[in-house]
Amino acid sequence: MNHFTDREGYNGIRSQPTWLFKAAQPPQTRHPVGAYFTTFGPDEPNLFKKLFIPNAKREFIFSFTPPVPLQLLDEKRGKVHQIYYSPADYSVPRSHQISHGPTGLQ
Amino acid sequence: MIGGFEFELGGTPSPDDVGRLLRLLRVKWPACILESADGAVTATIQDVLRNRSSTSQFFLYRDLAAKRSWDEHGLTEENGDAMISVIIDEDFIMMIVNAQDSVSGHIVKEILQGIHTCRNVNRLVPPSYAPKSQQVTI
Repeated sequence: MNHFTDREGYNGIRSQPTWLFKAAQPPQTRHPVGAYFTTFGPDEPNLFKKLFIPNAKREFIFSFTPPVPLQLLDEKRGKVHQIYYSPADYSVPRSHQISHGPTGLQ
Repeated sequence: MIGGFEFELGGTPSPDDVGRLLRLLRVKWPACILESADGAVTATIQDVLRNRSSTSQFFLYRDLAAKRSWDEHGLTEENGDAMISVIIDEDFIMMIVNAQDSVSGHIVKEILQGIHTCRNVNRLVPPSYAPKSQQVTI
């Protein structure tokens, strides 16, 4: 599972031994409050067009195995675009962390 | 994080639906550019219609400048209303715009309503009078 973020988010999340992904309200209120993730990697073509977010949000990545199952956004867009979320803040202990760092994408 | 607002039309999409979608959008965005979801194909909407092409996921940009802006920056305040993401699945057509109450949101509502209306009209026409399906593939 992957979480993409910008430099500010990256520095905040990696500053703690247990990564904490904070739940927030997406721009469109029909999407539930949550911490959002995707199984797509940085090499997925046009990922950020599919997610409708700025390129700055793709600069850094956290990869992990989910310690607690995440919810698929829905059976339609969520399934096609592989979007998962946690309705509350989501903690990933060191034992489930795989890697983190720049994606190489600007 | 996730952005975008989804408009959806249920029912099994036909190649005619895709052709209608593109023709209706061409009225609003005559310089529209289509890009396949994998980025492998980029074409003007006229070329796509002329070559009878179709794909299950693609992006529609208002014009070439909009595509270049999205390529370079992703979503910005300026280009948010200049791209529509389309998913054609087994049992729905989904068109995703930056915001529900936006110009592109209203365009998408009109397009999906137009497809819905055409489907209803076609149901009333006996098969022998129905036009040949327009296959659209990339």
